[in-house]
Amino acid sequence: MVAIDLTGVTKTYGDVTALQGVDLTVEDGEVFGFLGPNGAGKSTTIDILLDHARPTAGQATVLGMDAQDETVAIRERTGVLPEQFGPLGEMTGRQHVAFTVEAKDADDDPDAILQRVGIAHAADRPASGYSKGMTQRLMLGMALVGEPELLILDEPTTGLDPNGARQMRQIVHEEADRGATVFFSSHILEQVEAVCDRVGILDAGNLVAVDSIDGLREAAGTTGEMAIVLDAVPDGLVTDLEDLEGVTSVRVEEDTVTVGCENPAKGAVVRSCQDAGATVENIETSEASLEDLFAAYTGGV
Amino acid sequence: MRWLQIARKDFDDSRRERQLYYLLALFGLVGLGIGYFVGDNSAMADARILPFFLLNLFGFLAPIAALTISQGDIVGKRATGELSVLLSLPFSRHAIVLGSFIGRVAISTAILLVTFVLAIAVATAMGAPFEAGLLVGTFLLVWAIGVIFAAIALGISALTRSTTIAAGGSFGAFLLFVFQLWSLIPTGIRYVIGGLSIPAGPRPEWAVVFNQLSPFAGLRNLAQPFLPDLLGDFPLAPGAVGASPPWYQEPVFAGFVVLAWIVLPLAIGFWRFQTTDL
Repeated sequence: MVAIDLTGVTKTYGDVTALQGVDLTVEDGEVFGFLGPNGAGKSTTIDILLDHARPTAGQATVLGMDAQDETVAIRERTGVLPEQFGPLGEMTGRQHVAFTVEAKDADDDPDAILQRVGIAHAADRPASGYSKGMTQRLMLGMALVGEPELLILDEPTTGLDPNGARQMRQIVHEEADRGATVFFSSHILEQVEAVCDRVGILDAGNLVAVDSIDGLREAAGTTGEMAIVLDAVPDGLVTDLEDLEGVTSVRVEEDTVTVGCENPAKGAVVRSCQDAGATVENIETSEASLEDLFAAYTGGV
Repeated sequence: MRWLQIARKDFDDSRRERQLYYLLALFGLVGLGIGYFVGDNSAMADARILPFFLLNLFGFLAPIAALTISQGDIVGKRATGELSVLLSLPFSRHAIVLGSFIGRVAISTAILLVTFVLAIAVATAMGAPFEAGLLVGTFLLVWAIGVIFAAIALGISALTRSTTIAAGGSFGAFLLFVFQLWSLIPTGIRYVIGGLSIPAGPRPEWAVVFNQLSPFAGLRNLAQPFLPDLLGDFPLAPGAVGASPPWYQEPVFAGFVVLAWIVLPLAIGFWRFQTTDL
């Protein structure tokens, strides 16, 4: 089954195009990361899935239902952490969760939910007095009520401390293990890399890539780096290395040669160093970071 | 029935924010004052005196309270992000508008009930005459005023995304109906179409009919047959109702006018709210 399906979704606000013909399919049971710089259209996409905004063109379905016509039925089976959230009047944390339990016709224990998102100590306080991070945890807790088939989380880690971000990842893992589909947006790459099966990269309203992270690395052709420490750098080595196939850059710093290259070229690089008469003392390799990947797709620096 | 959950939350919000208690205190005090005043003056040994004071004071205060508590009910939640949380739960926009309206009506009902009971209890305990039918009629009339103004303010609140416009719009509704700027509109139109000269001669029928379309006139015309003694001189509605009223003062017509003032503001607000992005 398909959890989320967007077909040619376009959204314009006056002259501003927030989304441009986005086609996207998220399969059932997947953890899908929705990446993009600020203002790329991530929240607009989520707004359309929840019928908080109407697409200018195109169609969106969630859990096989039309996002506009069957929005209540969709939200019965979906847990949401919205982009913009405010406490419900002067309700306490526990009352918030109890209200959600009633609305979703679920039977969760509010205290267990609050425990799970780490704010059980504040259960009896009005949520209007919570910090931003605590309110966000509360909203996540409300999203978990009723074991929804689909979780839509808009920037779930923004505003959380490192510990909170770790708990958030933990919860996403648990929900995925239970069988839920998780769709979340983020501009923090590590968060996405740590939990997602697939990612989509959105840039200026265009979906520029959808793939697994490894797949994206390959497709973007962003290469890793290899730093080789030699006893001394022989003359002419740099030119030899630059001539090798698969090598994109060569830098020399004292006795260290840093070579940007694809994985298959790494052996040839080491051999060339030895052939030139140098002794290889140490080798460190690194993969292209997600930052590089992101920059390659969104044209940022 | 999810609107019922919204309505209950709406009522509880008012209680939790203490707004309900402040209004109860204010209205209760005025009610006690009226009760004491009527009970204390034996010269007022007329069963019409107590309802007269209740109607004329609360006919004025109920709209203010209804407008105040309703004007920010939806637009305010939009501004704080509460609306986007509610619309992430399985509530339709329809349930939000309807539930908020029922919630606000419940609040004004509770306040008016307590107020009337206090006023009547004090007055009768001090020996003022008591006539149940008249008092119930007065209560229903004031209650209906509260309902109409809650509908108007809530309609505005659903219509706009600006809290400033919502507050201004409600104040405008107050000026238009309680201050009766409404009845100046036909004169203004006649002034303009008459080539900017002061209208002279008898008022044309459309101007008279227009005046009878205000919410207060509608209510007065609707209730006149039931409370003839009380409404002979109702300061919030222009004109009076004669022995054989013209079509636009018939209770049936007036009933539609009253219904329209409840349904139309809500329908227009909802129509806009339904199609707009958050």
